[in-house]
Amino acid sequence: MSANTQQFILLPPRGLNAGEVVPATSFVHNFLLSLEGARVAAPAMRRSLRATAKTKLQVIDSIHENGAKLVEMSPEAVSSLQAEQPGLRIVPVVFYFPARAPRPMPAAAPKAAGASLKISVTVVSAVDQTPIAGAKVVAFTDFANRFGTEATTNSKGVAALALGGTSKKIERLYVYCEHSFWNALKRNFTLKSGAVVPLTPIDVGFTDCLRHFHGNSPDNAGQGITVAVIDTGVGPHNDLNVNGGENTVLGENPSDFADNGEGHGTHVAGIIAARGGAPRGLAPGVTLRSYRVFGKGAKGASNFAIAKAIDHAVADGCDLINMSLGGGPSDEALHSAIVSAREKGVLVLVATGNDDRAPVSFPASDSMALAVSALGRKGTFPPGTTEFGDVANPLGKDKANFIAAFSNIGPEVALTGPGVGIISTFPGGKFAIMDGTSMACPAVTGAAAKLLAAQPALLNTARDQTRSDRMAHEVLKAAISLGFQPTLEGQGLLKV
Amino acid sequence: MERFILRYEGAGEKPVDDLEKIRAVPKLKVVDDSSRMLLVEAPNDSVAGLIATLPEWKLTKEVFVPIPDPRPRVRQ
Repeated sequence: MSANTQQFILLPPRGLNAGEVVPATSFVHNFLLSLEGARVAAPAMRRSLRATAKTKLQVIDSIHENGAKLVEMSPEAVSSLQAEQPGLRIVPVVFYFPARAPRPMPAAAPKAAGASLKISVTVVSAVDQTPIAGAKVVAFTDFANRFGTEATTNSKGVAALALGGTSKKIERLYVYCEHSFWNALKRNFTLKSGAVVPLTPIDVGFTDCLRHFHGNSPDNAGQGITVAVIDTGVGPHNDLNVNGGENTVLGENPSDFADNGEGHGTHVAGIIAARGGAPRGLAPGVTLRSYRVFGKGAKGASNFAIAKAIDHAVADGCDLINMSLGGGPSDEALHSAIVSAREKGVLVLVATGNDDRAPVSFPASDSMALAVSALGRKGTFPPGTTEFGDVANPLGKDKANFIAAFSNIGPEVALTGPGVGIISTFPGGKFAIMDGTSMACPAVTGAAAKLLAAQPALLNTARDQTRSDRMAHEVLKAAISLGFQPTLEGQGLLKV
Repeated sequence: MERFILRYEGAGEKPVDDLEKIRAVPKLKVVDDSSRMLLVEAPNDSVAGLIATLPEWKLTKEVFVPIPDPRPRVRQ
């Protein structure tokens, strides 16, 4: 195996052989057969072959002539192979080791806070100095080790930070507001009690990262496409027209699919389908459905609730499923639900996760999902905002573009989308700034809806794996590279 | 007791015979269901034994996924 190649297993959509459980698409069947032909022709040489127009790989072994193939290729080649063979599962080879008991490791020493002395910080509106209650202030004295403290502002806009003195050197101070303002970041300064941090109010006409890359879409963009948002619920918001859905949280009212108060799902939905004056979603013409999987006051969604939401979104006729969620180990229930959605002609788009360039999290890592990383652009957020902390190398061909520092990356990344400093809807008719692959994913979902709406012949085909494979193929081939490695951007930005 | 997801992978509806077999497991309680799945509470060993007799079903533990948040956090 050469230095920059890895071993992967190529599989049909289900099972180990094409056609084992459900008929594989002819694309995948023919592709696996063609690899077998090349392998049999030159087994001793393990001949390298150009498997597709763009992808060079080497077939090492095979389970069946139209079945699983063990191949070697570069991680960068995974994205282009996925784009050309969207029904193919591409799974990294993993090795298992004896389950020895882990050895105790020293933990990073927590810094003594000296909690009795506190530094008060007042958060106000930069426009009229009105105090802002409920803002979260996070002070890092050592950012690399994440040492520091945090507090929330009271009704007078004051947060008391237990930093063990009346003055402290701070590496980073973040101030987060739930809605209506940009969040603030100050770096490398001495914080003294009585400090005031002004927050910039959101101007809904501001050209953020999403509008920079995608502009404003007309009312009918995405018409004919039904999109499921599986999240914390959606709305109420005057700019969003939610056309049904379901709450799949155990013990809650199934018809309460409005936002659970977190605002995350409402923000996601607005990126896809907001239809007010500004800011607008990428596809305001879609039929938007909300599937709430996070309970009221709950910080987690069960895999059962998510799998149930996927099944029901498919049964309800959705074409695209947006899942701005993930993390934790892979599990069969979610994997099966995603596979089943693809078999029924539905495309599933999932955020890669926000763990600071960690590997793509599950379920985005599922080879039947399209994984979306987060793109940012300098100049699309005001000075002094938290988005400056998300800038990371390498930069794109256009040096203003970057893949966000928080974005998870890896060979599973299919596409990238704007996910830094995004203005979108928040429950109660408000607007908020959010960052994350959670925002990048609906940007791609919205762009995909816009693209696919212009292809009624494809949409009207039978709802089967061939349909979802062709939809994936159309979406991936329409993407343009921004000059990053495929492990960062996949096929690039879907610009429609 | 832990919660598990039983997901039917076969064609068509969940077979009635299978559902009866699942419900007959001692101390097993079905807490939710959907078109292809059951969410059950049951002792670990009893579901493991059950799934061996139901080849068209997959067993997964119920797990929870957090709301995504990219904000840096103070290490507690």
